[in-house]
Amino acid sequence: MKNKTYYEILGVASHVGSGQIQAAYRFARSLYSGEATPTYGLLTADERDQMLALVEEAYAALSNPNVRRDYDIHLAAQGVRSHAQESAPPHPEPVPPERTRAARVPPAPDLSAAEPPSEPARVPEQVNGSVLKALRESRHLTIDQIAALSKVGSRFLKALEDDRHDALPGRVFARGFLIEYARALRVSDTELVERYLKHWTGK
Amino acid sequence: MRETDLTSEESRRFEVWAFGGGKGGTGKSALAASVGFQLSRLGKRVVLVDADFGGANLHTCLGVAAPARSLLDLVRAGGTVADEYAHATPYPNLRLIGGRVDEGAGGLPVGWAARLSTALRALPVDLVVLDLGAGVGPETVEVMNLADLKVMVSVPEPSSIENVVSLLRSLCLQRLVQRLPSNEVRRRLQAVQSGEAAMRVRSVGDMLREIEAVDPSLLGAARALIEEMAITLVTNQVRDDADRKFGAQTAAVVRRHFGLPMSYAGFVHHDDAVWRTLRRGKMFMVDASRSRAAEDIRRLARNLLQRADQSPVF
Ligand SMILES: Nc1ncnc2c1ncn2[C@@H]1O[C@H](COP(=O)(O)OP(=O)(O)O)[C@@H](O)[C@H]1O
Ligand SMILES: [Mg+2]
Repeated sequence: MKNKTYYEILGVASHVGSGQIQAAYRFARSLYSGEATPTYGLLTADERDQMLALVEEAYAALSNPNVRRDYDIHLAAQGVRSHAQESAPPHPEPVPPERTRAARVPPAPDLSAAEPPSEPARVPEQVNGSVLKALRESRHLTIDQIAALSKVGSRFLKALEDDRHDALPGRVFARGFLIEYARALRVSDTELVERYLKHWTGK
Repeated sequence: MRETDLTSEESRRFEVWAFGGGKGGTGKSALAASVGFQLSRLGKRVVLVDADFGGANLHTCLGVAAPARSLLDLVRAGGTVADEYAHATPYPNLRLIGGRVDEGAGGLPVGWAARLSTALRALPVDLVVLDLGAGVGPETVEVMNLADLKVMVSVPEPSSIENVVSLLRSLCLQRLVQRLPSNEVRRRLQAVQSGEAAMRVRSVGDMLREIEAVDPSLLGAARALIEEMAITLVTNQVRDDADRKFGAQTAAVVRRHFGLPMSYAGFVHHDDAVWRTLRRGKMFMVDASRSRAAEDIRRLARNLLQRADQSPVF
């Protein structure tokens, strides 16, 4: 499972909520805990143990909102594709012993003393529509996915990204949309809002 | 769910399905026959094909005699017209291209698989259901690779799923060998198919690495060839809750650890009605239509038709 993200280890997309993380964790644990028939035929006892340890590690990180946020920033910083892509080869095969932990990108954030997120994933000093778009694309999210996450209509999100401020219902609304957008991207909402609105030209 | 409510898209689409899975006795023939029968009842024109060379028994699953002309007769004759080999059964919309128990597949004419594909696709029907034999012999793999939908039948036992994975591995290797335009890649993969390199190459990721070592420009094509395969798993002879979970778990492990696209179509309970009716030369779908297995088959046929994946979504 080298190069697998925590999301891939649990078999979830990177934007899911905590309930889904937990359900995926339970399912993954059931696969490797030795109760499941198929894994007897397909994986060795060592491979099952390795996977079980990885699943626990992934869940410990992703079930903690602060750690998860930092981890997401790591992912974005490294341009890692963080969506679980179960059906798209090439696929990691059973975990090679040893190599696993060291080779997986990105490094797991330390649970006790979370390091500050690496620079590139912070909200840039200058924020306009193109920067929003770049942030979104670095997470491999579509406008529609942001819309689903943020409950903000995709035509408003598009207007934000295109800097068509007049197409938005007003500054107050734009502010609200930006907060939601920032949360969907898991970046600081205050910084994003302040920096984007600096260049506001609309009503 | 009404029995007559196929959407127009569902009834129009032509497809070839293959039921396989490597191991003998898991229920490939019973499921191929009963799913084919169910879809014929829903109004699809169906031809069942016994492609278990040497172990043909699909006719007994339908309660009919072995037909005079078999699939191997068609293949050996090198014909591309299969209609006259498709014998009527007592059931409307359902015909059978059968096999004989005494015949083996040895020495098939060159190019037989492509001609068989042409012949089956020219049949004036909506669905062709192929029933495959056990093992991962080249004929079995070749026939399975002809199918638009590959249905893997497994019972909830480790040895059965090992057979499924071994068949899947052969399917992928054969597909890549046949379709990738490079003799060198072909040689490398053929060596992997049997030789000592076999141990090294378990998953699709391993296969892609072999290809990359020879010609990285073919990686994209190789990936696409694997991804476009429609493979689904059915659990047969389910007895308890652990068995009911087997299919979704297996499909997840196959996807995550072997890199193979595999969905999960559902399960069929172990049900004495299946072999009791069979023993009397009857079909459980007709003579035990209220049985648990018959109910499961109706649900399964629907899932297969709609390509509904029963895997949990997170
Ligand atoms: N769901 C089931 N419940 C009970 N018996 C079954 C079931 N499915 C298959 N069988 C029985 O198992 C035996 C093997 O089935 P068959 O379809 O011939 O397997 P295969 O084609 O995979 O070799 C047959 O006697 C069949 O009646
Ligand atoms: Mg059979």
